[in-house]
Amino acid sequence: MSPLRHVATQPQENTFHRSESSTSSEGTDEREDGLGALPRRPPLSTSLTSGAASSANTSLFGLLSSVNTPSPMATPPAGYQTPNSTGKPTLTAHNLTGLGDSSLSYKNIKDDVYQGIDELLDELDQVDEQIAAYALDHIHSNEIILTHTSSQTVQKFLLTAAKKRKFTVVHAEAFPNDHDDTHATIMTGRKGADEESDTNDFFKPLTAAGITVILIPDSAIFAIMSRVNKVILATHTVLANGGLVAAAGARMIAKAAKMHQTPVVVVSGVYKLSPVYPFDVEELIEYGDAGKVVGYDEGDLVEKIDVINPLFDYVPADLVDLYITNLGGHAPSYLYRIVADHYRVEDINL
Amino acid sequence: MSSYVVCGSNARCVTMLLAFKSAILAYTTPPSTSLARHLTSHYLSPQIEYLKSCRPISISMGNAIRWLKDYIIKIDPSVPDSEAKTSICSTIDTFIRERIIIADTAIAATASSKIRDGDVVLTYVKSSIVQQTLLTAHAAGTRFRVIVVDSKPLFEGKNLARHLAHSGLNVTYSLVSAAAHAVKDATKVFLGAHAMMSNGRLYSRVGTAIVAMLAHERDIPVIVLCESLKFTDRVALDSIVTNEVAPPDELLPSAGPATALGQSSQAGQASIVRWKDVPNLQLLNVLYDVTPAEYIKMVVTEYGSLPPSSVPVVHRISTERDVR
Repeated sequence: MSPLRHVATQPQENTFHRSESSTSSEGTDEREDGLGALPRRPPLSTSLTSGAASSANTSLFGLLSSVNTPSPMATPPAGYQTPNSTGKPTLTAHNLTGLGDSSLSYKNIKDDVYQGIDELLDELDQVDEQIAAYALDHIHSNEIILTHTSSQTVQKFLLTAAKKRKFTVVHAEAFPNDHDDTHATIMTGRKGADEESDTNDFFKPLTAAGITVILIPDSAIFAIMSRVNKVILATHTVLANGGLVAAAGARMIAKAAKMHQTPVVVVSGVYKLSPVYPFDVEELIEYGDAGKVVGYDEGDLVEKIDVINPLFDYVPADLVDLYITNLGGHAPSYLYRIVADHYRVEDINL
Repeated sequence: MSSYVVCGSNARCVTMLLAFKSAILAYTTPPSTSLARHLTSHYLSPQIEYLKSCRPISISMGNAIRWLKDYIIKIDPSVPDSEAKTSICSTIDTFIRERIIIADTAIAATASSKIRDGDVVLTYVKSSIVQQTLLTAHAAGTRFRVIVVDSKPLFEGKNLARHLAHSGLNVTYSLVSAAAHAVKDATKVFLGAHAMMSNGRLYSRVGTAIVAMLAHERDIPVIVLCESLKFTDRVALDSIVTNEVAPPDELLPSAGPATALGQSSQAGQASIVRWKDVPNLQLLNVLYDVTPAEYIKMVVTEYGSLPPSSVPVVHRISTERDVR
């Protein structure tokens, strides 16, 4: 089997658009059907705008562009050296010209793509429960836990522990970008004020489960940190070096925890893992609406000063003690292995 | 004071002393006792208690009250009332002038000379002395930029930003959650103080410790500007042992900055304002925090610049001077 064939052709499986990652991905992957375990994930791009819903079409574009750039490496970094076991016709540059004719291969690619998407959707549905399964190992009675923003993953994690343990949660509202959702999460257990009747049990607020919740403004983080036993953070992205791109304020929380020797635990699904190394941190930070910081109605102020409202913070890996993912708990230094398991070299540069 | 109309350690101290002045002028000693004995315990003390019931008094106010009581006790009983009262009022004036106004000028002069061309000065919320320093430096022609980090619920930094911008300074404004970004560009950090503790720790508006920590991480010098009036014998190990808790309803979003998503903020508002109905939910609104001494490089007082470990020494000197 020629290396070219191995790398260049297999159907695009995993274009995934639930989170804010952009969806174009270029490396073609094939999962070994026998394994059926970890589908490939496209890397999260640094532009955090939500991608338009992608479909098989985008993947084909990825397919097309990747064909034109044969990878210099014949073998991917980790063990997915799978032969083309499904017997699909390969798309070489030669075949491309007649793409319209190969409708058969088109359909097969679509099926694989749909399958991949379904698996990803399943994973997304289950990831919070899988993470929450580890909650009892990490949260003990009478602990004071600090958390931040309105993350549902963290809420479910804490709710699961709340079924068996009594503890206190100090919740920092993330003003100005997330405080409404945070308030809603504290009051009702879910973001926003929708009245959809979903599985009510799972969306109970922590207070209803008997947990004392204390809401503090972000400025009180250092003041309260001397009494906190553990910090549990959610994140937007996990980077390949073990660092985080998390909501603004996470960095100061992690740093304050470090100063007080308080463990910092980050909960996130493996789908948030990105092969990107933060060579340029500035690139990763998205800035939001300055009007939330200083309203435009304060015109005399606004026109004379610069107002910045970063949405995210980069948290370096040495400030995090533990990652809990749906695959279990890991040290930040181990994450590069998981990245290698999930991504190929071609995925890194979109 | 409890509605934050008078806000800030110096402002509250001066206002209190001026109020005392007018109260003392209106005072008459009852015939059976002398001014020195009666004024403090029966006249001033209830006033002080009333002030405390509105809002816990600041360290500078406490020091000023102690000084005033000391002074009154020492008044010669043979001195006629009117003379005693005028002398009290004029000492109060001198006190304000020496310990606050002139001290501020001296501190501003020293600290503003530390600002160089091209500096980026970061400060946290509004401190009157920091404002004065920055304006002094600007008036002297130094070219520098200011970053103001602000916090909810008081948003005092907006006033500082407004003031500085109107004076022509280049101001960048952000909230404390963005502090990690804000310190990236800073070359110096100037902080105001509510009090300096005797173990070298800074007791200041909540969030100051965060800014100091982030600046310390980047080896940016953190300079505290503090009059000796604010030094205290007390020590604090962390922010919980001594603090002021303000009414939690101040944390609720009432007339916050206009958001683009008016809808969702309405919905969020509607639920959180009913927080009292939810059992197990508390809102905590502390006003101050304690910054460890390691994060502070230098404290500038009217006695000069000193490291935070010298705070108890200066406190002794300044109180001995008054006693004399």
